[in-house]
Amino acid sequence: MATIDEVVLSGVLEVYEVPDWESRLPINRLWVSRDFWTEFDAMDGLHDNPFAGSRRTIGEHIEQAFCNFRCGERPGAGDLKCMVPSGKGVWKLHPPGARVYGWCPFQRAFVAVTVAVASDTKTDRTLNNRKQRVVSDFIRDNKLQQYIVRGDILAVFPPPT
Amino acid sequence: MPSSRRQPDARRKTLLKLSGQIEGQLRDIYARKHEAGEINQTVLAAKLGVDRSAINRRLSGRSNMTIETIADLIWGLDSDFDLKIFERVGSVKNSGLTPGGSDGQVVTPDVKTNVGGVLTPATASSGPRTLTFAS
Repeated sequence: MATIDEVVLSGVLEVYEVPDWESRLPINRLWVSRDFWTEFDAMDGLHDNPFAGSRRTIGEHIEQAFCNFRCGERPGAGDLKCMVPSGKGVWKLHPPGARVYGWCPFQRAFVAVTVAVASDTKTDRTLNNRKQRVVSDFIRDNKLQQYIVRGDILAVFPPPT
Repeated sequence: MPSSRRQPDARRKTLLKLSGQIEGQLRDIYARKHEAGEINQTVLAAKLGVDRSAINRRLSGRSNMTIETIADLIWGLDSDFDLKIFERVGSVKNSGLTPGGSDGQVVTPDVKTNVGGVLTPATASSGPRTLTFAS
């Protein structure tokens, strides 16, 4: 078994540092896999055109979703969803136009492993399952099985006491 | 050392900063009120006279909100705002600022109380921009 810190030191994961334009202070933890950014850069669909009426590209929405996760009190309803079957502990973030797959190793924490364009998940019905498998394999390959928060959103973001 | 990835240029960063701040603050206020049972998207939509899906789009960043829309949401959430736009400290224009007072002292306006009168550009020349107070 490994720890998140060890995987960060090995370079497979990195801490998501909020960009210089974010004025809020981070209060939640977020890690991103090295391969995530490679995939992010390679997917032209994330960077080509503004998404819907928002004037921002899907890639920019992903960056903002990461900032919101790190700096927001809690994700908005539907922004962070547990994938079925929930026993695997795989979650996905829902920025506009995208799906970011990962898992929650602790409360108020998320590890982003892989990404897909939301419209692709509608046309390719197996894409979600394949992405879920990528996350499960990542957890297994890096021996992080003991760091999985299972349950619903209240398990990850418990209500204030 | 973070991985390199496509980085937005300064113009895009300004958009991301502004939209992130506005949407982030609106979302946080909405979340607090929702958690306290004071409001939900349906109630807010009814208050503003729009469809619930429009509220969802605005709070999730799926729409490019107009100033009127932002103001509506702030009002709908029984909130207020504070806004300040300023020149970047490191910009060429700012580095050319010279003292405007006759005694050579740099006069700083109190932007909160507006004490000191109106800030006006003294010259329209192409040289260093000089700011002075008109009392």
